[in-house]
Amino acid sequence: MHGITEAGIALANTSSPAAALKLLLHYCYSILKPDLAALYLFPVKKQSGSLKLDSFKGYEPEQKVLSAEEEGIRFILDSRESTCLLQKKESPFSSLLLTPSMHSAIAAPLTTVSGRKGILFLNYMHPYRFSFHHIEQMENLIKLTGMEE
Amino acid sequence: MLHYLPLWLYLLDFAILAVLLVFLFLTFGVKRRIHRKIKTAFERGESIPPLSKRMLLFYSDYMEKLSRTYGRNIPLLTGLDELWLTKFKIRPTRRNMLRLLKYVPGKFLFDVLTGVLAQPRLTKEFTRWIETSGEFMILKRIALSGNGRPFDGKKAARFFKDDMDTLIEMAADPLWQCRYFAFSILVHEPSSRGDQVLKDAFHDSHRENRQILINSYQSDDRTFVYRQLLDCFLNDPVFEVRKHAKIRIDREFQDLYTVQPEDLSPVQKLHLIELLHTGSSNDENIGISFLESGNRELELYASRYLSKTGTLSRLLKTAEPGDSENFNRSHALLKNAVLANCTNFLKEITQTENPGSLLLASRFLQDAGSRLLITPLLEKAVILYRENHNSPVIRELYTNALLCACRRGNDKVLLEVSRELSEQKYSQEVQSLLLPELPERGDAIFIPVLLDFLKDPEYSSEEDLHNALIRFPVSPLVPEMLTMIQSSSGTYPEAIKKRALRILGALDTGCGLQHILENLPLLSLKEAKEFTGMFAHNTPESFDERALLLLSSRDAAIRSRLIAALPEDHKKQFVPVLLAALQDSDPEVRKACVWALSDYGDSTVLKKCSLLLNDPVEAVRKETATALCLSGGDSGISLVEAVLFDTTSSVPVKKAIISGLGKAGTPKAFTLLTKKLIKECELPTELEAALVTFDSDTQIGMLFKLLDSAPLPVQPILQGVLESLGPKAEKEAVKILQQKTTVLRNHATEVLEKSGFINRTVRQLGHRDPAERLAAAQMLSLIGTEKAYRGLITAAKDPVEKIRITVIKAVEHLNTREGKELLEELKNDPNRNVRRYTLWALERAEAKEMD
Repeated sequence: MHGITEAGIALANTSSPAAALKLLLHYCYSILKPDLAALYLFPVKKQSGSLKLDSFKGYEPEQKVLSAEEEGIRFILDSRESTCLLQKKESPFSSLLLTPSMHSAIAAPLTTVSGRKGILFLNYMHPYRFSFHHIEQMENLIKLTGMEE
Repeated sequence: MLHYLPLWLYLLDFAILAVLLVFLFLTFGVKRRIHRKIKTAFERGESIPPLSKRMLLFYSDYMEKLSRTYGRNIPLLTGLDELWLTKFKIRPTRRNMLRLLKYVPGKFLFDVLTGVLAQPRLTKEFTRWIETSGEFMILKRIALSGNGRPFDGKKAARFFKDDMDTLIEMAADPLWQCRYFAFSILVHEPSSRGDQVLKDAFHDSHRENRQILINSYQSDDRTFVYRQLLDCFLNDPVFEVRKHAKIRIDREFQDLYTVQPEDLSPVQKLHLIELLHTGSSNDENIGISFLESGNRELELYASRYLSKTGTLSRLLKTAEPGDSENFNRSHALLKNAVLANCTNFLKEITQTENPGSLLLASRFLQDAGSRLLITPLLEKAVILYRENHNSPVIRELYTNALLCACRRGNDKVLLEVSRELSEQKYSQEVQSLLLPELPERGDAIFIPVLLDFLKDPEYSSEEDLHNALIRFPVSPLVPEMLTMIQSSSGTYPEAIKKRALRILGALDTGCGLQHILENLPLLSLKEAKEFTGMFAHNTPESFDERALLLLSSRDAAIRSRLIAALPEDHKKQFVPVLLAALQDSDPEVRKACVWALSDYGDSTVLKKCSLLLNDPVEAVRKETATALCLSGGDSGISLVEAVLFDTTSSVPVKKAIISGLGKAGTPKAFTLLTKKLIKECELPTELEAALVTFDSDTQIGMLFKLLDSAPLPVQPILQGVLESLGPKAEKEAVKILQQKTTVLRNHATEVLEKSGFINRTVRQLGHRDPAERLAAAQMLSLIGTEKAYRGLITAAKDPVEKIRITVIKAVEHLNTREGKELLEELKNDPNRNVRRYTLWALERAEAKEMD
């Protein structure tokens, strides 16, 4: 709870959206302790096409660009729901794993009133490394930035 | 030998001689007379007296002799020249020709020419005359003499074959008659010089000249000729020119004729319409396209054309409401025709029983068209209505026909209307349609019917009847109303007398005042207040005096109603009386006083009224509270509030105030009630009952907000109010849920649960319309309670993908064993998107298990 509180204060004092996203990444990484946290964003004023890697913490993602038409990515963007994959398997959500060494993942869309901004990924090297509580915390942190998920 | 001749021969000779002598004598006599007349006229300087035509013609030679004698143009002066011309035209002779050329060459030169062209044997003589006459510019003189009259240009071309140069020069003459003459000849004489002149003549400034070219110009270059004709047809400002151009195009250039109406300018379109053929379906289509062009002028021309072709009549006759697209199109077209004042097609309704045709006609006849058609229209509409009054088409037809009759019908058709009005006495729909439309000019027809309605206790369209009656002339009604009001009990029920009284009051006659005032007790207090408006509009002079008299009378019912009916601007003089009446023994009087004095608005007066908040009769207390809140302004509210929150006020007093505040229904009353509830929570049942009367969206929203901040004991009461408000509270609750982040969410869902909204919405998941089912699924998802989700799961097998996805999300939220079983099933859903959502939900469910 302490981490969330600190995050809330920090995010509340941020005026710039870009800085807020950076802080979001930082706090997700520090509170939820993934092996990899990555922020992929659409280019400015665009809401389709490709998402580019904006920033990351931990392991470096293999792909710098993700296609918005890829099944799992598209699902997240269209449904506006945070999505998880508890273990590596054949699934439409396999693309949530950003490197071959990762085995479980959570991803949440970042949306404002003006449209889709991008996706925040958290990856873990081991399967079943998180619970639903992690997902809720991630969603709460996103809400603190003023974004909808 | 002579004496051997028979006698009769002698006699015959003698007779002949005698006749000759007589003839000679007469001739001599006549000639002398003519000579004398002419001589006298010349001597006096007067004009020659008229001589008979026969005489002039018979003595033509003598007239010529006299001309030579006197050196004057006697044929011209006597009009003999005209007679010679007439003769010449009938039968061109050399003699008359020479006479005309000698005496009136300038006047009849053209006529001589036409005679010569008809009678070639005169050619030589005429030619010789031309050569020897010494006349200057003879061709021009001939042209001017003709003044644009038609002649045989072909023959003239042969006659003047040596004068082509002169004619070509004349083609540029400033005088149109000369150009006309020249063109008429040159069109028959092909030459390159002449041809160029003729080509330019299509734009000649005189219409007759243009017409020569249009009718007669020939060229190998057909395209050129066609273009010129087309230009004349579309652009010439003279109708005759355009007409001739079109005739020639139709006759000789059909193969080249291609005109796209949409490419034409508005004026060209008008020119095109004028000359469309009545037998051509292509032209008819053009006419129809112009009728729906949106250009009023075009539509007028198009209407006239389509009226001629019978198209408008056909559109009306074949109108079929079942084919809505064509029906609407016909309606639009015919409407444009009506707006352009072409309404002749409407007479087709006399020959048809087609409901579609009659319906269209009924729409138009309300404002236009022959009034004589309204009678057959109404008759047919009534018959159709009797046969099938459930059909929307027939109902509209019937309604429109009645409106036509009322608005524009003659007396005969108004009689039909009154019969129909009686026939449909108990149909509220027909009564509310017809009564406002009854025209005043039909008073003699309608008043008896309306009075019959008035006296019928079963008749239910009272308001419409009242409004209809007061529009009619007063004189037939006043005696009737008085009779009804004054009748002994049993003749008319009270309800009927009340109707009559209201009408009498509204009739604004200025007489019958005493009757009205004395019969006010027929009305309730509230109804009596209506009379305030009536009296205010035209208060009779004697009103004050009569009112004071009655206010001091013994009858409490009269006093109370009269007080309620006092007009605003007269109240001042009655205030002392009213204040005294606050202590009247009759509660009705006290109630009426409170209302009357609250309207008056004076704070001292209000304070006196507020004493009735403690009246021993509950109804008086309630009315006092209501009156002070509704009419007493801020002062009234303050007075009520003081008593409501006064700890010494008794419970019955407070109950009455609460009830009165509920009846007042104003925002200030609402504020007071909620304040009472939150602050003291006293008399919760009464407060709840009063708050239920406030059902505006704003007030319901405020109730929700209060629910959130209210103390615990108050919350159930507010919940109860919201439950009682039913659909209105549900609507507000849904609005709250749609805001997503709101502290009132729980309260909103609770209201929806308790009101049965969720159950009803769950039932909607079985609706046959997929849109309804989807809306229900989305609503349940929005509500988001366990009950809502459980209900939502029943739609797991809905054929609509979006609904199944909504179910999956609901299952994910619920996180139950049954839900997981359902998800396992949905993993095999044929829809890929559904399968994805299912996998998504299963992952999340598995994550929840790890918590």
